[in-house]
Amino acid sequence: MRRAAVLAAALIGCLGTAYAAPADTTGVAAPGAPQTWYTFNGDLAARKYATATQITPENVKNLKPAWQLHTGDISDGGNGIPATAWSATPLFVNDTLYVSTPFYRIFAVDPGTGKVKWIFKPPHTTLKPLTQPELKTRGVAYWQSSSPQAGQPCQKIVYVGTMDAQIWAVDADTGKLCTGFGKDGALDVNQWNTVHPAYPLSQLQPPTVFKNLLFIGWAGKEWANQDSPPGSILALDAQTGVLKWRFHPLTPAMESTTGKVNNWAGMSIDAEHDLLYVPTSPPSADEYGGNRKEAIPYGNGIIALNADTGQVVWSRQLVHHGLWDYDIIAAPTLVDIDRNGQMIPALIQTTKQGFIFVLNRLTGEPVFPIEERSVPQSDVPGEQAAPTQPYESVPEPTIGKWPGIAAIGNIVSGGGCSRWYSKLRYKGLFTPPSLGAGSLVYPPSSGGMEWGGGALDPTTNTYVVNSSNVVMVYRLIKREDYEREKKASSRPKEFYPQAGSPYGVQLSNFTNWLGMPCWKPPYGTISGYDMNTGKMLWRHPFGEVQHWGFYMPRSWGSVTIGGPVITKTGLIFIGASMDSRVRALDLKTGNVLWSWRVQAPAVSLPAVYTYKGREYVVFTAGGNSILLPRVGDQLVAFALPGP
Amino acid sequence: MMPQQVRPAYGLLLLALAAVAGTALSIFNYFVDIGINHTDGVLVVIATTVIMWIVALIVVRDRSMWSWLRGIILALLLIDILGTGVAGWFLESWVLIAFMAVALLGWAAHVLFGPRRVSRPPSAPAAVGSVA
Repeated sequence: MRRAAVLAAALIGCLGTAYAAPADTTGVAAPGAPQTWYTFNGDLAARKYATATQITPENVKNLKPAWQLHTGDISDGGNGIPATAWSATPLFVNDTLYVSTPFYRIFAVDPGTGKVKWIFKPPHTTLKPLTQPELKTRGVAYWQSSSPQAGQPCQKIVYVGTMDAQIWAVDADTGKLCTGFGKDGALDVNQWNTVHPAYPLSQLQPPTVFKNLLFIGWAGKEWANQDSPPGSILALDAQTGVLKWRFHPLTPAMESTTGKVNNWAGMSIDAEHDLLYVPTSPPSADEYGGNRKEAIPYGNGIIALNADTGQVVWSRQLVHHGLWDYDIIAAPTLVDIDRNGQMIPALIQTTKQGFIFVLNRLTGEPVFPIEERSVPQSDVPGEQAAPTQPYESVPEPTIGKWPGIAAIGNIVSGGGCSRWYSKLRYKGLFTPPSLGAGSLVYPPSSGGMEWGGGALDPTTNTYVVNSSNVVMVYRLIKREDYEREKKASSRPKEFYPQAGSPYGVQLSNFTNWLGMPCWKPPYGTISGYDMNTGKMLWRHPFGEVQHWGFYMPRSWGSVTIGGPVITKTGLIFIGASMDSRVRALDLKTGNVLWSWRVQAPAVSLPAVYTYKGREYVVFTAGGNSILLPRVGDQLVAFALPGP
Repeated sequence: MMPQQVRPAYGLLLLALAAVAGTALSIFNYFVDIGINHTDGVLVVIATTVIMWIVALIVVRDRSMWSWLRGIILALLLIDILGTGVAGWFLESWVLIAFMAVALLGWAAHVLFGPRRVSRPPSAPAAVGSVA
């Protein structure tokens, strides 16, 4: 971990003359002010918190769709267009709802009626799976000038990123291109893809907007190559796209043998201290690290950068020598923790391995203890796993010990689950991938906790987060055997080449021949914590697994993608589950108070806003084939019955 | 052997009617977006309900079926009804469960109160469409 310039960072003032955030950067709207949702995470602090008070635990049962629209941008994988995975959080700002589609169009929608104001379609883009198997978007970003010039366009800008790594900037009022941004309104991020440009980049996460800057990382085809494009964080001028600073998490020496350490799913900002928090992925290759045995301090961790300069203020690695694709991905949630009367400026960083790390956000020091524990070692020639890994026990991790073999899955497979398990290497969390039958990995790269992260009620410091309980098998395959085994396999999509390394890898779900999980439920949970004490308040199975249309028992819970939001009245709104339902939960108990079926799993964060005195909760129901093969194009806003 | 009088198998007719309704509902469920559309699970219950009403009508029509075969078929029909009901539960298709409850009622009525072999004078005609 690097600690530097902490005091200096604390003293840095606001340098920009234009200010991006259209609301209080703490995310708490002024009393009586309309509730906006101006970033992917609701605010810069990634709290996902709404001060709206109209919908309460008492009346939420009356919630009904106020309006809905279908964008038409949907594909189930037929007709030569990849399947869509729509995870966009709609933004509500400028009295308009903005949302991007997996075809990279922007819809500007009347927030009270759902009527389309304008649609922007990029003059050129691709609907090919350049880096991802599906067409994805997680939404748009918004910037507005603090000193707008009357009669001039693009004083308010909406940005959308694309599969081919273009960032398009359009006027928020008209939907017309801001030609002063990049080249004729589009910025090609691939211009910075110059080291190991083995594949093109993608811009699927909306930029993080602060002051006059856009902060971006990128997504890539990370499993394909050992020498992947190295990650970098770019700060761009919000009006022109001109590069202001660039942070390289890898040194040139490291870049000669490895790549990645990128950010592909969001950042958060401490506006008071001008700090940008950047979670990072592991270096490449994902499941083999024989090429990168040196310390890579910025990989698989969180980095605090000075937002104005890009200088590192502190960093903390949360997985050493990553071999499991445990990207640190959710934007950390900022929280001021009251410990025995002392206020600690902190952040909450969730991880795929189920840990909830709480760090002092000015120094990176743990607020709750982090312990380095000895972990299993690799038996793969050329590999050298880290001897220890960071663990935390307060707050209680969302993932516990190995749940054991599920009786139903085992019986249906005639004992196949048990036989498979007996062949696998498993010595607990952080068991490295292995040759032969492979290693059982629990949790795998699907989590634990994903990019949706958690939500915080800053008035009580109650933190809520959903988590999946998934088990996979990671099997390394010698390079000389890889192509032959892939061709011989009935499941070639499980094979990832890691080209350039001595091993390819097969990643298999630990399921029987019918697709039934071989491990015991629950398969997904939602938990509430008191972040002042770290104590878990409640935990419940969340959602329902749906397979072949059959809904499994509620006690099993569901794998989830997406995340929750919290309202001041003590409600949690969340989609995320496999069963294509959106729900409202009681913040105090975690009990479900309301649910509604939507077109497809709402694999996104909902947004909460007030418009003309009415509170709305809006979901995108887009689906994701990781959960089940059901796609959607539905944008639906719920409200209490009104005039 | 004495000629037999048979009464209409109202129970099985009720079962068949409920199964037809189950088929129609499941076809609706397959095509209309209610969360289980275009799923294998709905295809399964379409198949089980179709089998249900076809078999029920065969039993109603066939006057000469061996009693042991009739017994086996009735047992299989019970399994079909209960299985489809359970599938309806996991599909969260509450109307399908209601139809299967009606089918079960018909099955029980047939077994408990349905047509019985009754001794009749040689001249008495057998009821059309039903056999005990």
